[in-house]
Amino acid sequence: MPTVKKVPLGKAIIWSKDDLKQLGSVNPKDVALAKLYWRRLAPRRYRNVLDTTTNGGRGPKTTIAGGAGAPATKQAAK
Amino acid sequence: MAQFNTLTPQYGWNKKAQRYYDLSSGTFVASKDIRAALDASIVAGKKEIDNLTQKLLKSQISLADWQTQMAHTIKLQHVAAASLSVGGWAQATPAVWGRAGAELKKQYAFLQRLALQIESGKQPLNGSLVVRASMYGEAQRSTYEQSRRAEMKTGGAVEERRELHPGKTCGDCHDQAVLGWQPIGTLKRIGDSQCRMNCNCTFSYRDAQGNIL
Repeated sequence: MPTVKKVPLGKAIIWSKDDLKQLGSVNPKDVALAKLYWRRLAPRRYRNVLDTTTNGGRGPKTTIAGGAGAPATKQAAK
Repeated sequence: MAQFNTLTPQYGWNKKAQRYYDLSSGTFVASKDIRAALDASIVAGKKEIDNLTQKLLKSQISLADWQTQMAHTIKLQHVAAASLSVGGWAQATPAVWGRAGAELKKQYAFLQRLALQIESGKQPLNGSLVVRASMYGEAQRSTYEQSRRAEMKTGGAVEERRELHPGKTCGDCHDQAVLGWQPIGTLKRIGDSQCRMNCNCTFSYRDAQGNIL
């Protein structure tokens, strides 16, 4: 069995305030990577949930009843 | 070439109702289904974090690499959670990313503290690290709820109520839930209770007329 070289633990990275500010900012590249991440990891049923359309798509035919805790998952379209 | 799979539902977002709907049937998607999507993302995210932490435990990566890769993974998870809270990528405004960024900065501060504890030996390289690291995956829930809270407030919600769910509740969560309807933004955040990032609570909202949103 080949010997696996062990990586030394080393030191933690100390982030400055500026580093944290930069790390915490969300830029278009982060969003693009997050899209790929979601498509890779989300179960198929939910894979498209973030790719919603708001213009041009049909609106829901239903009225809202209940909201959270509503008895039915999907209300029948009338 | 993109493949269209008819088994994968396509969704729309109704801004007025602040709800997802199924494009094929035109019906609203229940909040619990969207939460299920978040939960599925959390499970997958925790697995990614677990894999990373196992590499650190096996000395396959350095502490600095672990910290960097953790920070990257956490960001992708929180960005996706924030997007889910507002109706998808197309609806996410700079304000949404700003809120997600504020949550991220907190998580990074926690991550740095954990990394320093690993370096000093205060946090042993064992299973307890795996458990602690996995909490960063759970933290998406807090980002989702905070972002949704802000959107609901913008959308006309004036009151909120803590909703308990089976499985994970603590004394703080219970105390918050018994308060019932309160002005929006006044109840404890998800993640600020004793159960911290394991909190599985949600908020319900209603408008000035008492309509549940």
